[in-house]
Amino acid sequence: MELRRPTPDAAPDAGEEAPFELLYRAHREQVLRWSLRYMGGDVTAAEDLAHDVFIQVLERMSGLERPEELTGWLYRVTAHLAISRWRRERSLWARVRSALAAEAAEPSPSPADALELREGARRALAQLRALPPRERVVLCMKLLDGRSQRDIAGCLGLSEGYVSKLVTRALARVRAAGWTIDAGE
Amino acid sequence: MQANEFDKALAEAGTALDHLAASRALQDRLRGRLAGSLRAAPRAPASFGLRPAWAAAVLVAFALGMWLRPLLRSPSPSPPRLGGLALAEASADLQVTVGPGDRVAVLGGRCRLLDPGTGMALELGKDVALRRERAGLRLVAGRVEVAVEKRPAGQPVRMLVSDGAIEVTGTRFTVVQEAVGGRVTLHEGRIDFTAADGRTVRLAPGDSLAWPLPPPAPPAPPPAPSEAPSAPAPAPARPPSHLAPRPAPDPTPSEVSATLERIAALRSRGEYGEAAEVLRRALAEGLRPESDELLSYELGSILAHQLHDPAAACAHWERHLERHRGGRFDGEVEESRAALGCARRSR
Repeated sequence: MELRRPTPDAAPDAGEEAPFELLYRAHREQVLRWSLRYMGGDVTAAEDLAHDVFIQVLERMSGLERPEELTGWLYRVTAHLAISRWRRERSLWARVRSALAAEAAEPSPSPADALELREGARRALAQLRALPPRERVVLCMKLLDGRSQRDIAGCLGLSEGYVSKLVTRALARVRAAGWTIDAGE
Repeated sequence: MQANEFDKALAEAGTALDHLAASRALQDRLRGRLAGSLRAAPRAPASFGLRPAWAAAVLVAFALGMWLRPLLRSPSPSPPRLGGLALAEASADLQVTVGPGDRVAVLGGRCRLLDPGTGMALELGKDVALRRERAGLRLVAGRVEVAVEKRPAGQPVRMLVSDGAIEVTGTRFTVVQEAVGGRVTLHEGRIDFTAADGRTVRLAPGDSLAWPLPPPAPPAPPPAPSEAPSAPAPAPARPPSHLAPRPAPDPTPSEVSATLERIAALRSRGEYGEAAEVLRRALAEGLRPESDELLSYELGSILAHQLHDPAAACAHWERHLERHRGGRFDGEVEESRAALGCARRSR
């Protein structure tokens, strides 16, 4: 592959240490990874979420005081947007709009279309999608990212006690659905 | 795995999702959507922190940049920086991250970086990670082609590797850092390799050297009293110092090597929680001090930089320093402790 010179910054700003283009390319995979998890494998929803995260980056990057903390910031923003997104979609008005637009909407590609999964993994994703948004995000952080409850609380701006309650509720729902789980509670 | 074990089934699904996140198709779709949104944005919404006119200008500039990128030819007057290194050239498919501590990792494509302070030029491909440290530039993993302009006497450039440092006075060489050990091949000029124990090996063009170096050869045994004193036994043959064979320094290299390979695989999949558990179990088994120090440093790095668990990282670093004070990672551990504010946490 021939090497060539990189292109100039698209949005130069004296306060920014890296162009948005470089930031986007450096973090897109990580943001997509988190988005796919928090959306329970729903590819379209994960794309929407990742898109919203990068719009936030563009809007707020000039105000980011410590660029070296961008990864942690992106992690928190992705989690918060995942929670607020599901809340919006579950509102009455959103459900009405969705019902009215159902015939015109293109079918959303299911996780099965994009992923080759064994049955157990497929069912686990479906179980994840069935959880309320906060419980889903917290469980992903705990089981997939290996975060402590203290760290999760810090990320989401919640108390450790409330995070513990969310974890307990989520695990209870999972077990009630017939799963066994060793979550090191 | 039993059919109904949720955490294991979810972990499997998570791995599949991670592969999907890495797919070009999904990333291209996201890029297209972002470019489309910015084209369609009539004005900046009121909730933005930026003033609407400036926000609109930034959005338009970004959209133009995204669409005109393939056509632009003029070089940037000040090339972008990656971890303090100037990005001189980049392939179209370059994917690179800059993590804490100015750790540069190339995930895909190729690039050429320049270290303005030393004049070192580095050509990097996929799966290379570098980090700038006080003592020099460290090759954390992967293969790098290096060219350095001739240096004044007494002012070598240093590239740090796992078991020593390469001091460069003006040359071209290829260096590979693997999970355990590595090697350097000199193409032109002269380099000295200084091992962690202070031994120095000088390489000439065409030479290759692998590290860790083997332990120094024991002295030749004295001749037995019955042998004729006029015909002493010859000293055992030693390989030329600049052509040291690849050593196995740990009496149980397969255990540590296997663990490090597994850690590398888990890291590549983003399974940092699992990687930390593997390291904890390995450390609990009782290893030689050098192996314990290496795995302990790896665990602390994951806790601090990938799992973002400052409390656990600080506690681990404290234990690491108790066991390995004066070890080869002291500088990095102290930097990490300072960045995490461990001293403040322990009060």
